[in-house]
Amino acid sequence: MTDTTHLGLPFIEDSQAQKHVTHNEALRILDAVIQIVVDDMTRTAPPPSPAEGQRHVIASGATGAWAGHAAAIATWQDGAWVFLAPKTGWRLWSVADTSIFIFDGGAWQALAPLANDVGQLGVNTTATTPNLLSVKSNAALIAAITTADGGSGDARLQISKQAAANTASVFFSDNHSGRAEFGLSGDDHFRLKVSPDGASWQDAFVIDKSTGNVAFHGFSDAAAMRSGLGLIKQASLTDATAERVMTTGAFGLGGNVINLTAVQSANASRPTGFYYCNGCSNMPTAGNGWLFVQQLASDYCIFQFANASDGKRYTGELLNNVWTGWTRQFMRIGSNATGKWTIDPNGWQICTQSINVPAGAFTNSAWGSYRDCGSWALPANFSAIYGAWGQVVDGAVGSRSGYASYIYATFSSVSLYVSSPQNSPDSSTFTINAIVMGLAA
Amino acid sequence: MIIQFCPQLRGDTLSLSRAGDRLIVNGDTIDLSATPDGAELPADAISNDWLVGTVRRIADVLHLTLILPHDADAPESVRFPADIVDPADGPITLPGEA
Repeated sequence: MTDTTHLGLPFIEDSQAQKHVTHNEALRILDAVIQIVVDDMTRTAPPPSPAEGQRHVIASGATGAWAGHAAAIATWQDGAWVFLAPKTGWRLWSVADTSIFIFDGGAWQALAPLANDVGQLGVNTTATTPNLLSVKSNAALIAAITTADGGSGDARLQISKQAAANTASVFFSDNHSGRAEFGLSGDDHFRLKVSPDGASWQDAFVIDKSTGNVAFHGFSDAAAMRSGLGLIKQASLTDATAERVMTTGAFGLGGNVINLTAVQSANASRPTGFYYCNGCSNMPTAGNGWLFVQQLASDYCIFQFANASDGKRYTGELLNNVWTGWTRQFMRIGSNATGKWTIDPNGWQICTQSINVPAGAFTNSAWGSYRDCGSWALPANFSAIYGAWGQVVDGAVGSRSGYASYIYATFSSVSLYVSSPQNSPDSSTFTINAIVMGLAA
Repeated sequence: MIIQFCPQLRGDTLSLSRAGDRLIVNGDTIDLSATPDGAELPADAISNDWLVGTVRRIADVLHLTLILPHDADAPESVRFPADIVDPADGPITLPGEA
């Protein structure tokens, strides 16, 4: 054997002359292959002016002085290129690639960058399947590459799963027992799940991937949640569906009152609220009016109506679905050619009238005289009479002050009788002022 | 025939028509043809509540007074009605009626 097995260093023979030549040859080889650093690995021709000791790995297809030395390490020594054929497992550092290369027996394989495409990675711990990346740390940081450093400025962590049925999530544990998880678990909707023990899990909320609707725990979906929480707005200002949320102007509150039109009836059962009757049917009087309705049930309502032109009030009730009719809530005072009347909201009626009795003779009697003055219509009809009074008054009061009048009222008329302490008194025309009280018809 | 009115606030209505000396009041016929000229007929003698006062025939013209029913909101022309003088036979348009 004249050379070493691995590096091919020449041995010095026992009686060899010029031993320094062989020794130096071995040193050159060692100098070339120990701690190998090459300038680059892509050249197919030697550089024009190499420095002493300059090294390159020769690329395939080399020509000239390097022809036939592909993959060899070429070292410029003593004015000539020395070629070292690598053996499997040799390692070197390429300055141009800033990477370590290992010769696999056929070609140089780069290891740079060192951590790229590694099978698993443990930081301060040992990574094992399925956790091929394991970090033991009190904090982890992903900081964006700023635009000044050529980055986008963003910082984003992406967790991508194979298909919808798989899971892409972030998992939170208490001493490695799961308590919360959010992400895409088993489908493509975003959900946050919690667990008291790491075994049983329930959704705290789910966000639908298509609609963005959020369903919280206890509700099957967003619509059910809104319904359950009473968050459904009424469909209209008169929507009286149970548990609906009222909006401004609902049932005439806050905004404008509800306008009722000609197709609607003023005394129809409707939700409690404030309305305006604009040409409605069944109003208590001609002209429009303001309506306040209180509803106990669809067949029990009370209606309060105020005439828009004169403000006069009327009330009516729907009792067991029977309409009572409108009742005036104001004093009515009026007159006609017959006399005057006053009617209070409860129906108490007072009529006054001046009755001009034509001339007529009195009938004499032992105590004086009397006269039946006939029957006279009242200015307003009664349903009950509680009292009637009359007094003879006219320009001859002085001479007739002794006259006593008696009137008898029926529902629609009074009958007059006048008496005098004298016989054959003044028979000319006179006036009787009458007042009748009772209930209006 | 001269018809005077005594307006009265009440709930019912009046329908009136004439046939000569006969007056039909709400379907009830009052025949005044037997009342001679110059005669007076007290309302009590006639069994009709709408007729008030005395019926007279003066110069061959009947004078009579009827209750004119109206409501509280009746216009002035109804509450203070004018007389109807010599109406034609047939339905009589009352004050306030179109």
